[in-house]
Amino acid sequence: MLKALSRRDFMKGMAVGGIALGSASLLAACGSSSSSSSEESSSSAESTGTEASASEDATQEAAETVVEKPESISWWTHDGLSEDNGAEEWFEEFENFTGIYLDHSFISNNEYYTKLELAFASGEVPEVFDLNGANLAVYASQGALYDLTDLLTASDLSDKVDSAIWEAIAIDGRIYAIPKEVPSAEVTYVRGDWLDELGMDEPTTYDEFLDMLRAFKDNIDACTIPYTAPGLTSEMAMPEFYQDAHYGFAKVDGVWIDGFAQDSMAEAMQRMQDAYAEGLIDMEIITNTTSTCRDSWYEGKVGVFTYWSGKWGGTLQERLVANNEGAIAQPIEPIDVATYYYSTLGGMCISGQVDDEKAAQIFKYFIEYMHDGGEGQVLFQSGVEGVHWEQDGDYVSPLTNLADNTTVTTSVWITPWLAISDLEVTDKKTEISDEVANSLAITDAVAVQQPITPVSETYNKISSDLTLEKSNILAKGVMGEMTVEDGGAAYAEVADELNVAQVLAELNGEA
Amino acid sequence: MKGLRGVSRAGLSSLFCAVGEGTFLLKKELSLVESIKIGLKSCKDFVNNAKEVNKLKLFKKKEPVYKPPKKTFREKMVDVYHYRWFYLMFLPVAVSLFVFHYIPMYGIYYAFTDYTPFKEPTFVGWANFEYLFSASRFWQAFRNTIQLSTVHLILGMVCSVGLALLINEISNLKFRKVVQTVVYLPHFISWVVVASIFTLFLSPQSGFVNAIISSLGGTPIYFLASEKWWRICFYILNVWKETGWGTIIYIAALSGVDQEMYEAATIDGAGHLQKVRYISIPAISVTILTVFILNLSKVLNLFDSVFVLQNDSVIKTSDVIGTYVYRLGITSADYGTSTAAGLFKSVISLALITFANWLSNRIKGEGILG
Repeated sequence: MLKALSRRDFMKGMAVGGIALGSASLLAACGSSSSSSSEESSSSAESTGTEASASEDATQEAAETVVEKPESISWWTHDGLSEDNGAEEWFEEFENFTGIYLDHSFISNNEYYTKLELAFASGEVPEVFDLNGANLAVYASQGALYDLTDLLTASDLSDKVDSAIWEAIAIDGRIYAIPKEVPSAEVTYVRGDWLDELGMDEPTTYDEFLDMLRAFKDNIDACTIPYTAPGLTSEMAMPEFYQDAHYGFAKVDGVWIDGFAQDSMAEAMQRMQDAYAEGLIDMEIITNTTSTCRDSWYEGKVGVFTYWSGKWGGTLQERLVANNEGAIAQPIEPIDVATYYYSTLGGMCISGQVDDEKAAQIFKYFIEYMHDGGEGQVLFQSGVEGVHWEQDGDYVSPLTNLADNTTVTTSVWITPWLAISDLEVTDKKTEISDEVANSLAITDAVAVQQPITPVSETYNKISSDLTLEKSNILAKGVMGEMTVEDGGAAYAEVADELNVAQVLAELNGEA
Repeated sequence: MKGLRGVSRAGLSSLFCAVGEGTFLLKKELSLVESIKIGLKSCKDFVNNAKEVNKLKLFKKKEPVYKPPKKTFREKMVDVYHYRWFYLMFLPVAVSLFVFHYIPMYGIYYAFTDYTPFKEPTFVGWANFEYLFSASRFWQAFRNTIQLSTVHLILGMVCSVGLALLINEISNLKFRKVVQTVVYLPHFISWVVVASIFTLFLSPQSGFVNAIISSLGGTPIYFLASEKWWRICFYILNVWKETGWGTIIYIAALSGVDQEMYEAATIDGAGHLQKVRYISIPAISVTILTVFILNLSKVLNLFDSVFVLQNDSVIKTSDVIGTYVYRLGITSADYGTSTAAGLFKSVISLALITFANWLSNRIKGEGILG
C-alpha cells in the first residue's frame, strides 16, 4: 500500500522531515549518481543463458577482428608488488615492452572492496581489477563485469590452462574473471620437533590427532596452545574438526545445501565443544585473528596450526626457528576424515562499463600478455631484470626487496609456482625452497576446490543477519554455553525466520 | 556540628547576597537559629518587594519596541560591503557546510530505493523501513544502542565531573599539570590500539588481570567473550579512554569559580568535601547540564568502540545500530536498507536533540539551539 504513494506526495512528506536528516549522509555520501552505463553490462550478465547460442558466432567474429593496441589501461591492485619495491620501474618496463601506459592505483587491502564499490557508485571504475571468489558471483550478477567467455574462447589462453580452472571459475557456464594464479590451499602444520621429542608419528586418524594434542598439552612445557585457529567459522582453517561438515552453503552431489543445518555440522560442533572443554583448542579462539595465531606460532607456543601452503610454509618455518632453535613447522597429510580446501577461485576482471572494443584490447594486450609464457609472464611473475631479479644460469635469481632488505622479491603480481600456465621460455625457471615445496606437494595432491556460490537475491538480503546468527550459535556451542542440540534448534528457528529455504531454492535454480 | 553551622552560615550569607539585601550578614556571634530567622525575614521581604514591582509592571503601559527603518537594497549592499571581511571569513565555513553536509543529504533518497552500487536505484517507497522494522536484529541493535549509550553517558559524566573535582583540589600547579596531561593521553589513542591493548590485558591465558585472579585462587575469565562481562569491560574501557578528556570543560568551569567563596567557606570552617558539595558542584551545575544535553544528542553514534571489541560470542549483546548499518552496507552491499537504518537513527537523534533543547529551556531558561 505504501508503494502506491505518488512520488510527488512522497517527496512532500520527505521535505517535512528533511531537516532531521543531516547525519544520515554518512552512507548517503557513498552514493552519488549511480552507474547508468552499467545497464548494458547488467543486461549482458542477466541474459547469459539466452546468449549462449550466439556465442559461437561471436567467437568467430572475435577471432577475425583485428584488435588495436590501447593507449592506456586503468588497473587497481590491492596485493602483489608494493609501491616502494621498484613499482615505478615495473610500470616503465611494461610501457617499454607493450607501448601501453598503465594508469595504476595501489589500494590498501582492507579498504579495497569498499573503494571499488564506491568507484562503481560514482562511475569511476577502473577498467581492470581483481575480485575474490566470494565477490565474483555478486558482481557478475549485478552486471558489473564484462563477460569474457567469447574473448577467452577465441584466444589461445583457453587451451593453455587446465580446463578444471575454467570450470571452477565459471558462473552459470560463463567466465567473468581470468585467474592470476591457481588457488592456494591450507595445510595443517604441526611441531615436528615436538613429535620427535615425544616419539610420535604424524597422526592419521582423528583419535590419533587428539592424542597428539593431548601429548603436546601434557608433556611439552612450551606448548600452552595445543591447537589454534582464527575463529571457528572456517572449515579450511579447522579441517580436522569440521571433517565433512560445512559452515556455509555447499554443493554436495550436485545440489546446494545449507551446511550449517546438517547433522555433520552438529557433529563437528560437538567435536569442537569437547576439545575446547578439554583445553586442546586455543581458549581464545573466539577473539583470535590470523595475525594473533601467527604470532603465537612464531613464539613457539602452538602445537598445531592450519595455514596456507606454499610461500607461507617457508615463512612459518623461518619465523618459528628464529625464536625457537631446532623447531620444525611440519606440514602433514590430512587425517583420514579431514579435507584440505583450496580458497575459492578469484581473478582479473574487466569492468562491465567498458565497451566491446576496449574489452578486447584489454584482454589481448593485458590479460593474455600476463600469461603469454614468455616476456609478459616473466614480467608479471618475477618483475624487472636488475631491479627484482637477475639471471643465474637457467634460473631467475630474486634480488633483495627494495622495501625490506631482509627478504628477496620472489614474485611481483603472480607467484611463479602458482601460475595458471607454464612458462614457455626455458631460461627463466624459479627455484623453490623445500619448505615451500613440501607443503605445496601435499595440497596439490589432496586439496579440494569448492565451486563459486551462485548469487541468490534472498541470500544477499539476509547474509549479514544469517552470518551473525550462525557465528553466535557456533561460538556459544563450542564454549559450552549452549548444547549442540539447543544450537541446532536455535538455528532451525533462525533459518525459518530468514527464509533459508528460499535461498536454497534460488541456489538450485528452483525459485 | 561546628562545621555544619559554619557552612549553614556561609550558605545563608550567599543567599542574602543573592537576594540583593546587600549586606553580608555573616556574624559569628549570632547563633544558627538567629541567622536563619534573619535570613528568612530578608527573603520574605525580597519576595514581597518583587511581587509589588511585578504588579506595577502589569499595569504599566508597554513601551513601544524600537524598529529600525527598513533598508533599501542599496543600503543592504553597503552593509555587506562594510562587513565584507566577516563575510569572507565565513565563506569557507558556508561552502564546506553546503558541500559536506547539505549536498550529501540528497543520498537520503537511497533509503527509499533498492540500491546497489552497480545498478540504477529502483524506488521502493517504505519497503526498506518495513524490512527493518520487522527485523528482530534491528530492534536488538536499537535496544543495545540505547542501553550502552545511556550507561556510557551517565558513567562518563559522573567520572569526568569526579575527576575534575579531584584535579581541582590539587594545589601544586606543576603536579596538577602533569596529572592533567596524563589523564588526557588515552583520548588520543585510537580505538583499534586500545582494543588490542585491553585484549592482551584481559586475555584468559596471558593477561595480567587473569594472572591476578589466578594468583588469588580464582578461575580465569574470558572477559571479552562473555556476555556478562563484555558490557562491563566496554564501560570501563570507555571511562579509561574518555574521562580525562571529559574533565577539560569542567576544570575550565571550576577555574571560573570565585575564590572568595572558598575563602569564606574556609573561614567558616568548611572542610574539602563540604566546599566541593556546597560551592564547586553548584558552581558547575549549569556546565554539567549543558554537557549532558549536548552529549544526549550524540548517544546513538556508537561505532568504533563497539566494533573493535565485538566478537562472535557477544555479537548479540554488542550489536548497535552503527555496526548493524555497517554490516548491511559493507557485507551485504544493501545500501538501501543500510541508509534507511542510518536515517532512522538520525530521526531518533533529532528527537533527542529536540528533547534536550526543551529540557534546557525548562532548566536554564534558554535553549541550546539558539
